[in-house]
Amino acid sequence: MTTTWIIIGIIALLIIWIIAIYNGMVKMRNKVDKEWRNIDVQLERRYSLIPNLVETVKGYATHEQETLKKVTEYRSAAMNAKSVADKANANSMLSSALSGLSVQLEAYPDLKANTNFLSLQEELASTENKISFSRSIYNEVVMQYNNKIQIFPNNIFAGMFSFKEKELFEMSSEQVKEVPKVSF
Amino acid sequence: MGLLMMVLGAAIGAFLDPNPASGQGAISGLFIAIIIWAIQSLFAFAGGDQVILRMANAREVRSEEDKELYNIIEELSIASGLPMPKIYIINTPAMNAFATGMNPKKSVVAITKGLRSRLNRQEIQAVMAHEMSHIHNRDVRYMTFASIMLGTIVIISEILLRSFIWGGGNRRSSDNKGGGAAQIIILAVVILLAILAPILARMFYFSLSRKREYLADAISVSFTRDPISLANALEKISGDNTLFDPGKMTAAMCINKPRLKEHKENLASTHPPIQKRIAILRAMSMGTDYDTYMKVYASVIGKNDLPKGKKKK
Repeated sequence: MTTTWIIIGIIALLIIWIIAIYNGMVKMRNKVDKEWRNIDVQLERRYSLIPNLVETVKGYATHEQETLKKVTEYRSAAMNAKSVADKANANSMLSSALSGLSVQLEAYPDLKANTNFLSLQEELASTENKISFSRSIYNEVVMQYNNKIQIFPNNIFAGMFSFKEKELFEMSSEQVKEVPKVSF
Repeated sequence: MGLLMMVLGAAIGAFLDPNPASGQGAISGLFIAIIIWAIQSLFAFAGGDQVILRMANAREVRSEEDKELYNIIEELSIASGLPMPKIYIINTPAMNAFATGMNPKKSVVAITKGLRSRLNRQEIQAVMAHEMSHIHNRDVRYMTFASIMLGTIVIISEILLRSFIWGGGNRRSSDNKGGGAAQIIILAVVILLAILAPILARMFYFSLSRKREYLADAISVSFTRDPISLANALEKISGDNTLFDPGKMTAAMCINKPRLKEHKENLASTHPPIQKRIAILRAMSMGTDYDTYMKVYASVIGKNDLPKGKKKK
């Protein structure tokens, strides 16, 4: 009689233990998803700002059509990217195209006097910074999550309940080292 | 350190008792000290956030008025994970900025017009990151409590010294005729303590404040990853000589020691020498995070005596 109860007790404890592990992993995964949405909001914001910028710049910077075309292309590439790694990649291309454009636009004093352009520039710069800040938080949370589902014995249950590793949002190496800058 | 302040205050309170040997005086003294401190703290909690509203030339800025400043704070709120504070502009040519608010949800960051107009975007960001770090570290609450402790100690010492002047000492010697030498020694110790305690407390307070400044620099660097801009901003600020008096409590939250009116100049400093802060930031060549700051701090200052800050997330 008592042995049955002991066995039942052990099984109950085991179940509670598994539930705790499971819940911990779910919480962590939700956190990752939340941080990802934070990045995504900023990425969307950037996509929506770029056409305005291109329109504004077009009229002034007649010699930069090539760069503008490149920016537009990278933008649609970034919008079509599906996985985290692809998005990161496409967006870092977009970032460098934008900062190239920003350097070239220094040569157009008329543009610098356009308030519409200036406010667009500020919005883009700010969005860029927000992407970079939320990216570092996201990556930290992903790291914690990946650690959590890889360590023993969590990895057994992670496999059972199909918790998948998440990808880091990594921009190309030069971008990572780069301090958030005003230039867009 | 707060504990030490309390003990110091309580010990002084204890000696007010005509019969110090009984030990009851020490306990009631301790309670009196705690009660004075608690009451003042309550007042601070109720009214502390209003400090900014009392400044005649301070004004809240909405996002449309200064989009760049608003964006900068919004970025920092993302980087730090703190809720968005209110933003105030103070209409003075002085170059300074501060944070206030007892908890992150009710916090306010303020910047003077002089500073706003003379720094570039990254420098503004660095300065505001420093202020957000004060919010992150709960420094406003921390320093408010510390300053109230300091106040309590000053009050108790004052009461004690006055009670001697008004004949408290006389009563004591006539009550215990047999006391003699022992009484005189106790009396001397008490007076010494009453004189020294406020000085010691003040020293503690300012050393605490200076450490919180270094810590805020460290945390702000972990937010922005940009120590150079903070160094540049501090360099510009160090040339500023305009009077600016945001009040005693807020002074500890400023980006740099505010230049107060002349008669207050000789107070011990709430802020470390700005050149030292710049030197640390400039020396951060191996990295731009919290740990690097701590390492560089230890090598520049020569000792590793900063309180442990809560790292970002």
